[in-house]
Amino acid sequence: MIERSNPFQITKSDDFSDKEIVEYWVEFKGAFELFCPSNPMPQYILGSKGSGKTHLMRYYSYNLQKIRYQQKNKFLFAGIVEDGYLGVYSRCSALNASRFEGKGIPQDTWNGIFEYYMEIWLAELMLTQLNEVLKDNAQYSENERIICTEILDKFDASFAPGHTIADVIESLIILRKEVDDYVNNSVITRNVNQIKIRVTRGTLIFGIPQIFLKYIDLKDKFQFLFLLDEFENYSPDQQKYINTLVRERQTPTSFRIGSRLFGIKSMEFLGGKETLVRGSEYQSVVLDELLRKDETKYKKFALELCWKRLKGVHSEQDSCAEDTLKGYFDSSEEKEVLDRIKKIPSQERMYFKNLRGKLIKGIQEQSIVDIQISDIDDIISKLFVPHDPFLEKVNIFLFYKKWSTEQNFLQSANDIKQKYLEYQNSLESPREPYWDSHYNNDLIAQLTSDADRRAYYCGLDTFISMSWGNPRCFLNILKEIDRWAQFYGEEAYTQGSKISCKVQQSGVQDASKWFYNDAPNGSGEEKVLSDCVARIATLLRTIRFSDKPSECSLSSFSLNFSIASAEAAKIIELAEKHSLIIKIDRGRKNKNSKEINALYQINRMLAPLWELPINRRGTLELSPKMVEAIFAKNPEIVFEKIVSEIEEKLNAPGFGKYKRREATINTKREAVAPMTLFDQNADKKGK
Amino acid sequence: MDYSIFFKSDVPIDEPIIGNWDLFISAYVPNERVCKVFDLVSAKEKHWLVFPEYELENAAPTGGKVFTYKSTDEADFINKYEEQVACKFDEIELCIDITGFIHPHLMYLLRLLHERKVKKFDVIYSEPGWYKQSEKTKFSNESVRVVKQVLGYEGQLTTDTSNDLLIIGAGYDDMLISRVAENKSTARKIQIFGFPPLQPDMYQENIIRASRASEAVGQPIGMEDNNHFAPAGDPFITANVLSSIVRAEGEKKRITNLYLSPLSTKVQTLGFCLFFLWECVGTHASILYPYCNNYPHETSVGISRIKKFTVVLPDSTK
Repeated sequence: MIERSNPFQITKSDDFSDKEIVEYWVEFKGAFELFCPSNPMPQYILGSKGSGKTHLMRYYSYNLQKIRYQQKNKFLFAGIVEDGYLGVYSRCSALNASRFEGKGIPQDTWNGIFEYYMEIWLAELMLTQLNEVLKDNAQYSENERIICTEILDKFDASFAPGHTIADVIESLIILRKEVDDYVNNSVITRNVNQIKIRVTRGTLIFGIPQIFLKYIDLKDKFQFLFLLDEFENYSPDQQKYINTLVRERQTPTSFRIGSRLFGIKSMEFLGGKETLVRGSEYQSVVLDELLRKDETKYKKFALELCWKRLKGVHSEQDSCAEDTLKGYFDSSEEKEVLDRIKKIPSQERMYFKNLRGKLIKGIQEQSIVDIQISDIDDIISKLFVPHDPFLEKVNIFLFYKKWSTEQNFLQSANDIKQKYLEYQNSLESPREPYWDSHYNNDLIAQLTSDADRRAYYCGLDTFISMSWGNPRCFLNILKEIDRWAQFYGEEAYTQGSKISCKVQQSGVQDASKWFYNDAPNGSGEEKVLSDCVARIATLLRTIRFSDKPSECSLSSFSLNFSIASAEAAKIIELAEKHSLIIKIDRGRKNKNSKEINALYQINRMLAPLWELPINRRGTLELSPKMVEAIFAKNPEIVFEKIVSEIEEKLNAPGFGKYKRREATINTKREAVAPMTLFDQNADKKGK
Repeated sequence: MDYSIFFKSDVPIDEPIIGNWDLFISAYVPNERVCKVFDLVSAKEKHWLVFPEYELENAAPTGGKVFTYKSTDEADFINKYEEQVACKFDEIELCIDITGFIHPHLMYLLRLLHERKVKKFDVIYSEPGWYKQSEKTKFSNESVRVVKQVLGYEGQLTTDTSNDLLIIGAGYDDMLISRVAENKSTARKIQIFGFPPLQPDMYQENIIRASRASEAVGQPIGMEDNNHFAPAGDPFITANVLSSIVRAEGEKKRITNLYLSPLSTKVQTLGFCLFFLWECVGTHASILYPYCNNYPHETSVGISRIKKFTVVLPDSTK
């Protein structure tokens, strides 16, 4: 095992120091401008875990502003004035807000105490930063005393006169500690009556900036920007309080609020049941959606991320050269698989063995009546292309397709051979394929499986595509790959070195497993979500690896929400909020009703676990019965039945017909509802 | 503070456990480790606590008075119990079998005893023969309801979070480790593993499970500074290890907020509580726990040994 540092070890901005946040910062052109810290409109920055919310918010925080000025040899005050904002960053988790609940005390009482605590907390943070920014400022020195007096006047309490901001901060700390003591002991005392609320909502958060603006010559439109991260850690009541601050915002204060997709528990504000109005009272942006929207930009962004990590380790990299980065990853897996199959005589190849077995079974079960077992060798031999296993797979795929609609086996095999020969002898360049080439990826996946290997996910482009707008997923794949490279003793990211497909596969599998286990966290329905995703993925896999897949590159599904049960609809929504499935905006037209169904793709990070494609073409339209079987909480038996029905329908020898004939004879058997899952015209449409 | 001066001893597995106890408290689970000890202990009065999280609605434990209360809030439950017992804990000789307790309930009970000025009491813990599904054994269900401070262990806070430290007593449940680590994502994380373990194979099982949380913890197991060891079956050495880690980290740089999260054995949890009650009350230290809606009660098979610890608490009036 090679011992060296893993350039991708850190995948979370939380683990970065402030300096590293600056060092590893990569612009996402056009997207991050939306954040615009001097824009007074409050924003909710939403995104899945790892989408970059914290990195973005920390980048605009005061600590990072300070580092940037140092790097540019700028004075702190001048830099802040030039930026036009002061970024007061705080994590909602830092307050341990669950303290302000329960303990036998009415929630209304707690809400008041929380608001008061939050007011002091943010005021303390803001003043600490201002005290540092203004320490050499002449206007500040002149006016510090009056500023202090005006701040302390805002409290419903008498303080020892504060001459300096440090005194005011000290007073705030004392007030906060007093609250801490009463709140923490209330579990024993069951009483918080001693806490005196000495300022009302917004008095300090909006008032202090106004006082400073009055006495210090900051630029026009200068903004005090509160960056409140990890909003999901607040209860609905606590979120309502923050929403109220957003609504009652007073210049020069504004907010950026970061939250996971599932973290917004309320958009209501205090004093009514109304919700904030998007557009006029706030804006919101979903980061990973934004990053996903423009694949070219995201790719560039991801390459830059990768290069910045490698720059620290491999000094020969002086610019982000896409080809160099891609060149570090071997991509010969497909060729290896084909070469491996080529060494086996055609008749011994797994797919022909399977075909032979199915023909024999069909004859024995009498679902095939027009040929004898002795005809099988002749039929199969017409599909041979010994030098090209892929084309053999194509021929078999076409053969199965014909088998599912007609039973003229000898004729079918002859027709396919004829088409192959025409293709082989064609002088066109490139030659027009005689099959639906949209199925190529699926056929390669099946071939790989026939060669006793898992479908492969190799190469930098694949990793970028898998991460699908989530930088942490991308970095995590690279981290796991490097870990395996070290384990296998492979050199990585040096001139001429290539990370083997074996290592890439192992890394991708681990990253995929991590995502599967991690994404449902925080839902309160972790097991239910994992099980549901496993079921839908299993279903898609069953179709992909069938003899006659009904759709090509199947990684998505559609459904009509209006006929889903409330329970299933809730779980689907939860799966979406936890990014296990991604909603595709445009939806998909229902084949019967022509209504627009909701369309989802399984998160590409999960694809390797079930050997699914990472691209999306075909869609599985879920019937109501299937929606319930997949997304209701305990439907294992029904689900297994559905899977076996699909297996019957899409695989030789029966392709569903033989069983159905039996079912009509045996009336005692439970009738199988006709499924409208598959697009009957898929084959025609795909071409 | 040197916690190793406190008294501990092994108790024979099949012999009566005799002490001069007025009250013996145990948390009921239908498991040999708990029920056998309950039978063996002799005390003037014996109480079963039946926690709703174990979902044992139809359980009818025998041999003592049974206390049930439908609240999953550890303080509500224990406070209600105290109310019903109607005795002054500081005036009686008390023994608690912590084996079947749910972590937050155990921690709150200790905090309450401290508040009630109890100076000394005995604790019994019976170690498992083995865990039912080795490293796959689950000690909580798959869904964490919330990660929050344990009641009674909520510390002061500072707005400066630049050197927050989270010390995790790393148990088998990687999901619990991940959730706590994510809750205090910016804090530097230190993990304490149970070594020596309760049984020889349990250390490896522990490491296998805990390594799955490495993405959330941020550092792979093996980074020396971030991994420490304390015996899985000794609360006093655990408290000593904690004390020395916190001292050493504080000497390097002032710790802004300290978070402790005992996710391993109940014995180590006892060690975390002792350290907190002796050294952290009223400071910037808190204990965090990932709360689940329910917990499996059948996790182990057999008893390998029974231990008795004499716990001494500090004076709460100071």
